[in-house]
Amino acid sequence: MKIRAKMAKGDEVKFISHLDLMNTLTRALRRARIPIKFSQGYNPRPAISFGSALAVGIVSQCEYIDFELKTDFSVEKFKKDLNQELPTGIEILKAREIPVNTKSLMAKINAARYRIEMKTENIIDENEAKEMLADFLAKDEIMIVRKRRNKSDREFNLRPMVFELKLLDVMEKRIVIEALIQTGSSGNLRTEELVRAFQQRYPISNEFELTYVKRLGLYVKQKDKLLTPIEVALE
Amino acid sequence: MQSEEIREKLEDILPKVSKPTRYLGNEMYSIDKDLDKQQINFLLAFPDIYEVGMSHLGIKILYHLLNEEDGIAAERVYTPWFDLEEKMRELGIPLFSLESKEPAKNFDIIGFTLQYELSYSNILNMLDLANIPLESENRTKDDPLLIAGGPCAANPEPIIDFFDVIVIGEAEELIKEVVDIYSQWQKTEDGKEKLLHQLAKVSGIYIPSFYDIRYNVTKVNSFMPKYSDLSDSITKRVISDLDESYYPTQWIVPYMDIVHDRINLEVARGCSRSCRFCQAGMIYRPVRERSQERLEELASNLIGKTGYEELGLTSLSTSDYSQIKGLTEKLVEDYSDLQVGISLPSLRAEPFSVELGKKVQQIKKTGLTFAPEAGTQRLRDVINKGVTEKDLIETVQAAYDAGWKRVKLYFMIGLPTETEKDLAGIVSLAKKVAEIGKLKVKVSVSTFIPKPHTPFQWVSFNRMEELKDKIDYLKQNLRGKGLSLDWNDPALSLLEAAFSRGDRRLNQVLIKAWQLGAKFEGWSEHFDVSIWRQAFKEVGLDLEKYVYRDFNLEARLPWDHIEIGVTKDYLRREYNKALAEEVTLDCRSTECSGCGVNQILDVDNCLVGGGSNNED
Ligand code: SF4
Repeated sequence: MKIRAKMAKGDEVKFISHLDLMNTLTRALRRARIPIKFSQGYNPRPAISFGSALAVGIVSQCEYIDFELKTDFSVEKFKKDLNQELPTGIEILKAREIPVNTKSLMAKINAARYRIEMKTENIIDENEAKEMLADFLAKDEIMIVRKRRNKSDREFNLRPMVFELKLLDVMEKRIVIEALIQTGSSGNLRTEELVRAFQQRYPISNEFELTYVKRLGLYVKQKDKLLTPIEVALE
Repeated sequence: MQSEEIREKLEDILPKVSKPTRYLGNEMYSIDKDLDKQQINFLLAFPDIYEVGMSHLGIKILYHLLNEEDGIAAERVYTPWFDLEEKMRELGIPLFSLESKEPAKNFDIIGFTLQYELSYSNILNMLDLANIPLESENRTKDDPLLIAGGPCAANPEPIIDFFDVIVIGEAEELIKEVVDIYSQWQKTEDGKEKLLHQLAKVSGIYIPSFYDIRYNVTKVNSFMPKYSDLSDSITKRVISDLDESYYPTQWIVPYMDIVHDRINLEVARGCSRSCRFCQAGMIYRPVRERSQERLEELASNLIGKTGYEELGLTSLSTSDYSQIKGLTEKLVEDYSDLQVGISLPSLRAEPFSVELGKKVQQIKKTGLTFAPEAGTQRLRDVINKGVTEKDLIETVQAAYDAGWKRVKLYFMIGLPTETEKDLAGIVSLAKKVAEIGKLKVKVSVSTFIPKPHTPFQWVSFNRMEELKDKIDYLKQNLRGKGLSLDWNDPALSLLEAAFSRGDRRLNQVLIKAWQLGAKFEGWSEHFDVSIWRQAFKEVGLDLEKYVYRDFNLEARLPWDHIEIGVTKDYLRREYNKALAEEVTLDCRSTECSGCGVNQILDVDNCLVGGGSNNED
């Protein structure tokens, strides 16, 4: 059977890498004696697949993971037993059985919502912040350079990859925005790149330091409709 | 700076350093005790980075053993990597414990483990980062008590200025006695001297400041205990029954990849093969095995609690464990369903090893590793490595037939009496092995370092130029299909040789070298031998001359007051047999070789499979 779960990755574990998280989950599954399926061969891998890898340092309340089990297992028990074995900071929030032939998450997720907090040394003017976002959204083209490991840098237009921007809060030297941006295999924008685009264009932003990023949602975006991965599987 | 402020600052710093996971400290089964409410706070320190330190079994044992006690909290600290250290110094953050982010200086006791000589400079760097005076004579009652233990404590002289207490032998046996004495003393107004004097009475405890030792150029000139009630030698502490000794039933599961990321099940302690270069074989005597029953119980607990995917059966020579076959079969049978791989990290070159290897299949992907150590039978007899060419070839053939594709062979260069023939022997042996089918053979060469408490403790370290020539020879000749060579920098070995047979004068060299910037010596990219040459010179010694000074067979050696269990007479006998190319057989299968361990330590070889127990 297949279970799709929604998981939180909190502050306590925000620095652990994607691979560390995989190992942590595998070990927790073994402790909980959940009959996870393993691949054959000398290096058996558990049948766990993530919707989207989360960058190190970012917390999330919406990681989606598919688990393939060898035998039937109560979904309620899966969630309860696994949570008991997970370290603080990692929690299964939801678990649903999904059809075995459901397409992999990776292939479908294409949008992510983030809460992004930045701070500066100066007091921030709220109107100026609002103008910045409005101006950004009014543009058709915003170019940014992406540094790639072992490859030459690449310049690309990030504007089409930004679907929504909202000002959530301005507190003296701190500003909080929410952004819905493109993610996944068809194109992936990083929050760090979005912030860099602000810094390069708007004086109010050039001193900004990215302090806290939280992933709020992962979606399958179809035109203007946003579906969560669980909704997609059960549609 | 207090832990709250350290935590806050780390929030900003950690995103900017490499591998911040090293410093989290909230892994599964790490402890979370309120330090303010404990009688004793104990900091376990490992002078290398997290990935290395976390792989070490001894610290795991002590950590869980201490934390199971009420009133004691034990936390961990490893050496911060360069990038974090830089930020800490910039912002004035002192060395802190992983769990509570408590400054190291606030702990009652700090215990360092001495695993390899090349980590000594990190100890000084950590003390400095902690704002703790480096030398024990400059510390007061308010500073933590500094303890050291581990294999290098077999000759602690080069680092005694920095420690108040040295533990000789197995710490899990005496650590609670130390803590008890400390906490009694804490309630009094007594000075540190009184505490140390009480500790000195615990068997296995060495208080270096109570012994005045003076040297002339090459030998110990005078040796004077400070109090009349002190013994003039300190006898190693050992556990007589491993089954009864503490072993954790769960342990910290790290998030990040560490060097040995698995459950280590210590099947036995000690080795009786008597390889003459091997310090571990001497200092961990006698052989003591755990019962298969106890091991199965531990395996079940540890797998159940940690969820690890690999269980390693460890010991100095795992295939010597008398129940190894039965144990391996049982573990494979019990845990293959859970996809737990069993691994056997140290096997002897004998066909039986391949048979074991087949059972656990895990090894197949990593390749088999064997250590003939020397290229000719003559030299293998000198060093008493009881492996013949026939053994090796048969073993490798069996491995090849069973599907292995890769073999790693360990050799040493610079061994006593080594000639060109022996080097040529390495080449021809490796080639013979490579000719078996299409095997890939990796030859790994290290430099022989004479170690205290071994039959070769008097033998000279090879000249640097010669070592370089030998490596060049191997580089030129070990070419061809399937062959590759891997060697380590002889300059690193030179430094290790200086420290392993060092004396008290090295304490000042160490301080100098650290002041000149020495740290992370074990990491060859950070090792700079010129710093050390300079440091030796400033103290009035010469690194090369110091390493090559003569050790006389009859003279008192700098570590002679450390009683490891084997007698000096036995070591001298073995040394002479080595020169005569005579072998000594394993005392488990034949007669007692008379090393003295069972009389001095009053503990016999303890084999669960019955084997001969050389007394009675
Ligand atoms: S077999 Fe030889 S080298 Fe290995 S631990 Fe025993 S004595 Fe040392």
